[in-house]
Amino acid sequence: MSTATLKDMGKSHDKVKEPLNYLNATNTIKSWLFTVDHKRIAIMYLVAVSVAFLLGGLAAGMIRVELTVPKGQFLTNDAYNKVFTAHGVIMIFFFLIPAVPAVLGNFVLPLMLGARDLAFPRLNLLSFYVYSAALVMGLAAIIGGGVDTGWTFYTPYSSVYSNSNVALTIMAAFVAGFSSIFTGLNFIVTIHKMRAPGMTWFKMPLFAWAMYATSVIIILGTPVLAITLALVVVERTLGFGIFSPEIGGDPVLFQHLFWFYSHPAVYIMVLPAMGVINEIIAANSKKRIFGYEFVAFSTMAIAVFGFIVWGHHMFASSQSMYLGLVFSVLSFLVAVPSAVKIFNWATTMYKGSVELTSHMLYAFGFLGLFTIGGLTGLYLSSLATDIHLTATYFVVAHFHYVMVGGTAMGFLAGLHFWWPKMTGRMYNEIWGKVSAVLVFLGFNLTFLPQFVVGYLGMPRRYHFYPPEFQLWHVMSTGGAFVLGVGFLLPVFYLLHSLKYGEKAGNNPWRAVGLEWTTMSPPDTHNFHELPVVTWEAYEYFQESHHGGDVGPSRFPFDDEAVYTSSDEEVHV
Amino acid sequence: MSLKSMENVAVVGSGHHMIEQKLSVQFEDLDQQNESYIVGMWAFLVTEVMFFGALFLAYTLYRTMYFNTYLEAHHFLDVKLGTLNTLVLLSSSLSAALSVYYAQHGQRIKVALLLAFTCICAFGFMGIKYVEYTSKINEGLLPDQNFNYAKALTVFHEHHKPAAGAEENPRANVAWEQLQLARKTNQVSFVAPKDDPNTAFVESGFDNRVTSAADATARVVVKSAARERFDIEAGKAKIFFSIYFCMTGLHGIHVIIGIICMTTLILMYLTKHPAADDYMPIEMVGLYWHFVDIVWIFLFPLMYLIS
Amino acid sequence: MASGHGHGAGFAPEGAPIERISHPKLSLYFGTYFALLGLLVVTVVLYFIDLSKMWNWVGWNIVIALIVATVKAVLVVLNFMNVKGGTRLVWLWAALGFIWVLLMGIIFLDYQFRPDSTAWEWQSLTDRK
Repeated sequence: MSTATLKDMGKSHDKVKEPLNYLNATNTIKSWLFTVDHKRIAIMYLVAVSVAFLLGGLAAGMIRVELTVPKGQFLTNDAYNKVFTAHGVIMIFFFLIPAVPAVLGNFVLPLMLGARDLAFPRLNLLSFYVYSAALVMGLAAIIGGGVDTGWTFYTPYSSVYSNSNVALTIMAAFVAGFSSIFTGLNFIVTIHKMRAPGMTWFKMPLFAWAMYATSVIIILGTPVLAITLALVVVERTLGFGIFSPEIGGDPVLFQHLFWFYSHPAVYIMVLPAMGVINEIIAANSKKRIFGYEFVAFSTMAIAVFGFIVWGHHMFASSQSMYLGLVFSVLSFLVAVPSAVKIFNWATTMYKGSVELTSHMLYAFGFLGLFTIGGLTGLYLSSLATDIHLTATYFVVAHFHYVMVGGTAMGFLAGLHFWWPKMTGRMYNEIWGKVSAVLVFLGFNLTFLPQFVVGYLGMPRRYHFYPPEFQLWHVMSTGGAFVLGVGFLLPVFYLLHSLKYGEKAGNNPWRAVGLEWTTMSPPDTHNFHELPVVTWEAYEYFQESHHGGDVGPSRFPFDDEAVYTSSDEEVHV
Repeated sequence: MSLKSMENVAVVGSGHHMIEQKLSVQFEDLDQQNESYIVGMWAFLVTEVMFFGALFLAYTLYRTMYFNTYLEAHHFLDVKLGTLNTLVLLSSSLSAALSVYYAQHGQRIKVALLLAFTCICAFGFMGIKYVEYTSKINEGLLPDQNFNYAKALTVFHEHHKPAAGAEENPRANVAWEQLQLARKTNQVSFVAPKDDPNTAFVESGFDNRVTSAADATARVVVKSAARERFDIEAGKAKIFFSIYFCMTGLHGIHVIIGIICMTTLILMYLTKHPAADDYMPIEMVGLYWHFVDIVWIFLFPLMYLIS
Repeated sequence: MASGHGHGAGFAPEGAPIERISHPKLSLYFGTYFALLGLLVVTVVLYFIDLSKMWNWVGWNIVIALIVATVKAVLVVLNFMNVKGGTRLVWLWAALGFIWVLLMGIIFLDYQFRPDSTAWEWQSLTDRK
């Protein structure tokens, strides 16, 4: 192995000796199903999450097709309600929340920290199976009858009146919550206790900070949603009354408890993506992240602020308007740490040697789309405009800009960035760029018109609308198909790369980070010798506080294996 | 980085019983492993705190809104049984703490005995809960479709004619007064659709469905003022009992999970399972059990002792 | 700041004090137990005494009952659950949940300040007809 050049390795397929890594160490199905290796669990999560994403995307496609004509002719009212609920439930509980933490976080976090595995590997596997069980339950509920409450399950419609599979869907969300709790718990302990010698909190990559903040939100928020949903199930199946206005209960209490989790959940979805963007921007600008401490603290600030703004989802409910005022002001405050991040990323790229790789294009997409999503959020957090915009397509466009433009773009960016590490292969860079551009253009074509049509008064969750809105809807549907193609492309070229891709060295992007010091794909226990961290995070050059170069990086950039497997080899 | 673990094996043993902990592959030394487990367990308990916290919040909200209803409805709960259950749970908590102590000192027989005692206490707790639940359900206080506050009030006031707690506060008897008034004036009447065969059944008085959704939508119901006021009271009482059953029920589920965990541990100790060499599993279950105790410490005064 | 928390990376830098989890004595457990029993008696006795007659505010009973319950819970957390001898990290995580539950109390501000005063003396829909 050591004598063969990388080029030779890519070309000769028969009888190549490959070093023992986590993928080829064992080959049985059982060794995958019962693995406790965080990397294999991440791969299994990747498959499951992708399935959920494609199914949710299918539902989105049905919605868009239905909306091309003003008096929808493809779906009945009931079916339309069920389709948009399916889209919301699948995308939020089974894609957006687990995507970055459970796939990328699971794979990269222990590598980044220089640990052999997460603190509780078996809990990690349990988390995957709990997620799978929830996914099966959710799909069973959606396929076997459907749910028509919307993903928010507002009472009393969900608890009394809806005649669909509400209870089973809610149980699926409940179970999925436990899966993310297990993952979050694992990450928290890992970050606290498993960092390599020398890796202090402020030498950690910002992705690890993002994972920590996310995990804290998961730990503090998810149980509240779980118990709230459980109460709805009890109310629905046993006839108990807690949120039922008929006997004096308060449905707004449900909304309070629901959004106490579900607003922070927005940060569960987007903070990990922001973490990914940190890594990519630094690696592609070859510079230290500008204001590292500020970005780290802004991550924690978002986690804390995220918990005290939930009321802005309820401006149009019977919530006290005085409290609404407070929530409005607090919501504006969240913009501050988010803006800190955006500005610091922009400043990082300033005078950096920016490389336009495909994952960097995705990251650019993130920056643009998330900024638009964040700024339109300000319209929704001001009381007066929100009364006009509540439950219109303006809201739909806003949260798609944040969720798809933020989380999905961040996920794809991270997947492209770490794909060589995960599989040991390079994908086709040209196709990667085509996909990134298609997603960006398709996304804007889909959702920019929705801002307009929403402002004009198109309510969400309706499939009949005045004919004058049709132009906007047709544009949106057209964009959705471009977007769909953009999302499908990676499936093909990434899978293609598994067999035909060039071998990736340890550090194909010449990035700083412990994960790039081990071989690609990594050994089962990640590092043969545990690394000792002597460099700052993102130390592309040793910099003075004013930004000038002081000396070369202390990070071992050599593509020759630093901590590679030396003695064990297997035939493939 | 060489392994530091050698010096840390059996660091916690004292006296003549040494215990050995196994180091999992992902950890460097036993200190790191032990603290990871403890922090992990606490992080899990944080989720449990939030889990019950949301319920306590709902409880407090409705208590503030409907204090009189709470005051009146809580008389259906048995303070004696509640106190006994608190005593049982506190004692089980002590034995759980002691079992952790002896596990750290490697005294297996004592650990198994103390765990067994904890388990017995847990069973006792569930037994007492069973007695309480059955009597509530028989009185018609299970807040499902068959919730029947009228029946429960009648039975209660027959048995507790000079009830001390109920007579002190005149406002604590709203529901009972309205019920009697409604019965006395006998102005209960229902207008049902002509072809409704259930009319006769409904007119017979206080049927089960005082507040079911079907009544409100299926037919127009005209009630006497007293009956209407009673129905409102019954609805609020239904909220109280819903919260009571949800909170104590969830707590009961936690007790059952604790029983399962402790039984597993006892079996591990009796069969000399290798994992029983480590005191960490017991420490984890102990932490969990103390948390169950803490929930009850708050539940008891909030549910049983409203004054 | 950069040198990090003492409990941070699994292996503290050379020379840094390693925080250990210490284990208490038996007498502490029994002492805690009897304190808890005493507080249980206080709780129950308090139920039969109407403090609002002594001090002119109806809330005394519940406030004192909650204080007693909190003391009990703190005793269990510190002594039975060994947080007292735990590291700073354990203290942090032991406290976090209880603090965060209080944060949910923001919900009460909503009910306090609703312009519709019926929020506190709620009337069900049937009552409004």
